Amino acid sequence: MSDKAFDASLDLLRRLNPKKISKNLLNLCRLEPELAEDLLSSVDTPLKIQKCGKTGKSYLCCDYNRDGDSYRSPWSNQYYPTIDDEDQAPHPTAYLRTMEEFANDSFDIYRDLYYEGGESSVYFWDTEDEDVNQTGEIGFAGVVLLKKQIDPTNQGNGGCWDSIHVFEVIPENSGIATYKLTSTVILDLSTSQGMDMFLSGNLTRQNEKKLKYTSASSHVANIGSVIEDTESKLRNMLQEVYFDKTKSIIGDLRSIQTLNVKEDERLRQETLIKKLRQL
Amino acid sequence: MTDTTSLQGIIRSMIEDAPPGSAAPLQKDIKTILNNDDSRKVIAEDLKQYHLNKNYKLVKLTDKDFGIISKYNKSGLKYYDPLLKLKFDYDFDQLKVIDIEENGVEENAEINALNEKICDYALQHFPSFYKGMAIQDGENANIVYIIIVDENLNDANFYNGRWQSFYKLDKGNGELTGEITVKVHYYEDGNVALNTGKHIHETNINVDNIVETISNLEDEFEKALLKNFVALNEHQFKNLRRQLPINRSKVQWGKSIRTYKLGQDAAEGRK
Repeated sequence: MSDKAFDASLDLLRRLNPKKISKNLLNLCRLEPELAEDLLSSVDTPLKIQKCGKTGKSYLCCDYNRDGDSYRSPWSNQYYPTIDDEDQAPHPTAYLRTMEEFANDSFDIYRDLYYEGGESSVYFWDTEDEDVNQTGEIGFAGVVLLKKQIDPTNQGNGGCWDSIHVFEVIPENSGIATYKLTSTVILDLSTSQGMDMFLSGNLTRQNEKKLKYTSASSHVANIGSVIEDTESKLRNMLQEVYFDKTKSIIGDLRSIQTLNVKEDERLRQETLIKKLRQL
Repeated sequence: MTDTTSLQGIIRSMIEDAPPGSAAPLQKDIKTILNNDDSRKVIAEDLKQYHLNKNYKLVKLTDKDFGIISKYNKSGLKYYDPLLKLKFDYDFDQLKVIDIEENGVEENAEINALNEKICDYALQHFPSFYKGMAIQDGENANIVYIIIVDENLNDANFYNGRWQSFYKLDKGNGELTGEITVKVHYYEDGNVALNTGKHIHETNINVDNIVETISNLEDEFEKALLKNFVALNEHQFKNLRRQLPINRSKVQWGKSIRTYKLGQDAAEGRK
């Protein structure tokens, strides 16, 4: 029964106004508290920004860097607000943390090149019994987060982009690894020019790719290029759905040009009568 | 303020956030989550209030004609259609029209004429499933309501769209007030929604120029809406994430990615 309720909740969240996803998620958890944990960990909501106490840099928060009410900073590897048992809370093993730092530096550059602003954060976690080492033969998983906001202008033109890329690295023999990726982009646009207009939502795509690796750091490079490709594709899909598709649906709802339905009907009848006369 | 944390309040807020054409799946999902048959009544009552007051419901009355459910065309326990001269009821649990009656609807000549003009107007501008109607207020003969609803439901291709316009004319002072709302939902591997609308306020309107005024208002609204799409695309969307980096080539991942940083630092150092 609970599985059915979980699926029904996801179906509802696929339909209800995506602009209010955080509110609707909370309401579903109130309706059925037993579902709360699963729902909160499987539904993507706009990312929160928090400040790292040690470095003063901002970072992004999601369920993957959360422990209780605190979130681990990718810049200092510490949880904020500070927690009493920092050592007990989840952290990546030593070499994986080195890779995580490399990934954060890499995506910081990627963010600058594509977003020209905004925030990025990368979190890795261990998935195997053995610690990740430099050979790259031990698998791991992670999430890459990117966010950019445009503050509303005086016409109320605002926008926000959140990217959430969850991936898994599965090394195989012979120097090949499988990269499994689930990517979601949450895009929210609005204007109050002449009307209140909210164009908001999210698209999710899954992608899997096999690539060569020579060391653990080549996994970071491979993840980078897989995410770069996927994000570019998602951007094209967003362009298509948000602008082309939605506009054409509006055109089908109401036509600015008169439809001349009556005229068409009269012509059809005339031809019919002519045909009947010819019989 | 309404209570938003009670069961009824939560269901009401979900119904209000639901996209066009989703009453049936919404009802089924909420019932599954609550796993409780009593929830049917709560959902049905919330749906009814929503359709009576905010989101007027387009329903099929005959093989080719639609009707609208709203608080304005409610008469006793039933709803009536001023064009088809039908009375009908609606079951908000089974989600279907019931008890269609063929007599007992009479309107004065002015309302009849207005209904014909609206019918012509709707025919010229709404290609899909639509209905337009004029209703005289039950108590104040100076007040006339006009409601137009058009739906384009296409679950097979994962999208649904809805247009609603509501107008209230006060013949006494010539004031026309109202609201146009448009909702579009696209949900293939995602959930994308357009919610937009505009309040209307015009003066010097009478039963003779009202349909022409509505036609112009709706044309203007639709043109402005399409223009806003272009603006959101050209300004906001393009400024959030670039299609390609400024040097038009993809990122060189790996250890060499640090050279971007060196380049940046050097550029900043020159400033």
